[in-house]
Amino acid sequence: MLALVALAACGGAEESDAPPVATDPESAPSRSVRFVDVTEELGLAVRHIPGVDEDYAMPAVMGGGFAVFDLEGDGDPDLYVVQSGEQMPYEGPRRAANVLLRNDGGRFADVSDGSGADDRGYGQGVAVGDVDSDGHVDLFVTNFGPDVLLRNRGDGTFEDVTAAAGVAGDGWSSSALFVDFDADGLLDLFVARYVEFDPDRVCLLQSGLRDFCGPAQFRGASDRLYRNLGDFRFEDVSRSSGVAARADRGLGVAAADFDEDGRLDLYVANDTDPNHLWINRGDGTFSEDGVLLGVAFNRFGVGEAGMGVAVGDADLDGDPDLFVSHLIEETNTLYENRGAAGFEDVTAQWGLSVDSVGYTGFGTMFADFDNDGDPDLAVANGAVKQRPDALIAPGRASWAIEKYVEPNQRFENLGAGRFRLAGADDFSASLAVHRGLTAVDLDGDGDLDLLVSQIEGPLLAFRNDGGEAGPALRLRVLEGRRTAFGATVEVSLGGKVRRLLVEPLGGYLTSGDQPLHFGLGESTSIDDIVVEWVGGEREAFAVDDIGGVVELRRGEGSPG
Amino acid sequence: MKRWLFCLVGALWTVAIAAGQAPPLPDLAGSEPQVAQKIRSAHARVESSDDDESWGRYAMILEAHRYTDEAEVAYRRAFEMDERDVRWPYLLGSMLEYFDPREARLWHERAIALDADYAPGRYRAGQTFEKLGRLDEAEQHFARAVQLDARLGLAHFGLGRVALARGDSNVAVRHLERAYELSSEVQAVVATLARAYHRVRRTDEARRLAAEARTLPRMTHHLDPRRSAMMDEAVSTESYLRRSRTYMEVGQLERSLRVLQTLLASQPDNHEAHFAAAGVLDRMGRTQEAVTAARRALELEPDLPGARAVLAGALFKGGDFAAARQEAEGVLRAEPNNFHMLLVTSMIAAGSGDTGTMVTRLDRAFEARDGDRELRGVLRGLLQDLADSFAAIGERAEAKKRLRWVRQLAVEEGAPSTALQQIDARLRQLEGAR
Repeated sequence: MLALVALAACGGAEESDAPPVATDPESAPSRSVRFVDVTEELGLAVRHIPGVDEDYAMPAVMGGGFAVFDLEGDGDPDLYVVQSGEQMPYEGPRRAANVLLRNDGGRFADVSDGSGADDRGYGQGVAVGDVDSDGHVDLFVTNFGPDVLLRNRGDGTFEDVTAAAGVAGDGWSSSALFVDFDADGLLDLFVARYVEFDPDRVCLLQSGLRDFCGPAQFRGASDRLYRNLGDFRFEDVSRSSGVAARADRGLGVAAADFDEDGRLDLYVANDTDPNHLWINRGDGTFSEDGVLLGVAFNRFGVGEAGMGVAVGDADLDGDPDLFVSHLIEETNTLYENRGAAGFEDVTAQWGLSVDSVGYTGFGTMFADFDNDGDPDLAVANGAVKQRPDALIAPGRASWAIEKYVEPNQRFENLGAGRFRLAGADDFSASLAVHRGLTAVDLDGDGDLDLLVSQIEGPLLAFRNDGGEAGPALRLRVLEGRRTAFGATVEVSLGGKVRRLLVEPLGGYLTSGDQPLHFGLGESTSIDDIVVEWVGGEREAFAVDDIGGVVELRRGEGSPG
Repeated sequence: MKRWLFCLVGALWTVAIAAGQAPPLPDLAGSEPQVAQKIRSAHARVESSDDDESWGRYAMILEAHRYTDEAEVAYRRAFEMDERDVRWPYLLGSMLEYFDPREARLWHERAIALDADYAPGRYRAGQTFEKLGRLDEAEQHFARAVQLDARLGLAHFGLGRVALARGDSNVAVRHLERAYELSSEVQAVVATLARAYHRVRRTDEARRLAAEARTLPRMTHHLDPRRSAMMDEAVSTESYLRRSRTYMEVGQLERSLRVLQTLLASQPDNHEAHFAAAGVLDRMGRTQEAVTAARRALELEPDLPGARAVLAGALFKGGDFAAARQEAEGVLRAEPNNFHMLLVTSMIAAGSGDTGTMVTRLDRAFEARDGDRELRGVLRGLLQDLADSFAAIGERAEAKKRLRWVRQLAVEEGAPSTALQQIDARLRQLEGAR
């Protein structure tokens, strides 16, 4: 009888819950794309140290950001890995230093010593941006404790300019991003802050076992916005801009012109609190419209445990959609931008619901892995509380890391409002407590590879095999000497227009300054490229040769 | 083909478990003693009785303590032993909604086949279909739930959500307004109605409701008698505290208090339980008992600013201003920007005619306003009064400063444009008086 029940259940599930592409766990691999673990090959050996012990201090289970940028202007992606440490700041000074890794012909060498980038704060994440527009990417490190701004001198070394810049802050910062919100040509800085952590708080599971506390145990912290005044001086405009008016538990951040009024808005994924959508009024202030526009809660009106954020034009209609990763037992959530009507949670209809409820998502990103012209999704997973079903055998580490490990997930965009879980490969088979994620062409072969950080383990690299089968356009979009974060690029090919945002890659603790990547699908040439710069000005560029990285510099095009 | 093989293996595995008649026992190492004892005792009952009631009760106890894998096996076995008892498929379906909505749907349908007229069951089935992106079926279940119980706010809410997803904004507004009439304390309902109003361009109402939604607690549980019975099986300290919070979230304050009293009966020195009880009693208006509970929590754990803040608030409400001020100052020494305590001390100062302290504290409360939204309306009112007082004695600059804060708060709260116009007019008046 029981067998019949089980068989009936299986039969029913296969029947017609949703279009089969979304629900079949054994779905076919996407257009032959497979990710192969090349971590060792690339020499990525630096292990993240969380300092977890019997205290189960919450900062230890959240950190692990990294940055991808070109340290020396040689065109290769270099790396900056944020460390946490053996001890919490309130326990003592013994903490590991952040690590600078230079790309030496495909292998990464530790060049931290003497670089000035080896901050020893209890690290969480990092944001990249060329603060002084000198062509050298600077770094802002978020810590559990004071944050740090590092000026890139351009010779492989950095100078700590935090104090003069006035951006140290305090408390627990999570993700940060550089964004020119006032369109004055200088990159401003937004810093999400998490909770007011109390180390004395002891948390138990419902079974009575000790575990990390959840965010609800602590008060939220208000986010910070710093306006760039030039010369590495910033003004704290958190209060006057309005963003300090809310003290919620911020983790992931993104910036885009969500309401298409020509101004950059800010989105913050909050953990259990309503997410924030700060609509830029254009006068230095923001209006928080997350509830009205439908991105504060999920479709059921519930505030989820927002972790990472991805921005991308999932439905190719030209406006930016949002994807937010969440806790186990919650779906990751896709909010479709419907213009003046706001956003709609279309997670279930798009086939992204069922496969995500079993994991806790953190770093996530829209990226065209198969170069077919539409953005796919990748999600780095890893639990924050002991899973009821440990996924690998116990006994590996002192804090029982095996109770928190989870596999990653990649979803292929099938077009017409559907995604499906991609087939098994090294990325999806990786069992770890993954955190930050970004997509970048590490080997320069024309497709996007994946970098994923993990707690208590090395930064992981996964090479994309198969994505290069389709052609891609790589663009460096520049405003002066720096990347024009916030600009939008419209590429016309075969009568269709695709839009892509120039963004610092990664919506959870992670950041990147790398060329924009456009999969061209069936096309081999492009008709037209128009850039909409921050502030609304448009310029058209003629591009004949799509090989290599094409530079589009503000002022060098024709009026668009 | 592979899928069927997978299912066959699953079925054989299930048969093997059933044939073995051995109830699964989770690893209880590290669990609280009372949890381990309750689970072992229920496990022993299953071994001795081996009937659907003992299996089902064991499943409920396991689920209540989040041993969901073992609970699933036990629920399935209970249902296999008595396919007429609706509790087991309903509870299993409700549990699986969060892990496996496809499987949950099947169990909800089984439950409906046994009891088609249980409105909360229809709501849960509809919600599960919604999670699967099947809006038509979801709508049918919500509509049936409304027919069965027109006062089930969540069912109207479900209909509103479906309409909103389809872009039928006017229909959505109609359903959501009904849901709001019945469940105005549910954050999800209020926030979704705000969104619907925004879509039909009822902007002022949308902003007002969006602000209201932010002041409401996040509700994650839909309680009904069957689910409550399961939750009541939990005996871990954390589960008592969590259950109490859940009941408080849905406005069942008496029940929330009873849960804490049960916990305190076995753990009389649990400071968190006393602290939580103080909060519930304070919300119930039982101020003196709240004071007693908060004081007991602080006796047991002096470093508990939250309890001290509840104590200060309760003392203030009870009219013992001197004691309230003393406790509030204690909180402010540890948390100089505690919004509630700054307000309490400013109001006490106002009452005693100490205008200087009142102004200082109110200014600090505004400066330190940290998202603690509950008392924003109070702050706005006080700032308005303060502005009027300054204006009355000719301190126009001070008056304008406070009035601008009032305006800022009003904007953030989504106040209607007429209210903003009134503030602007008053500001212009003050400018003109110069």
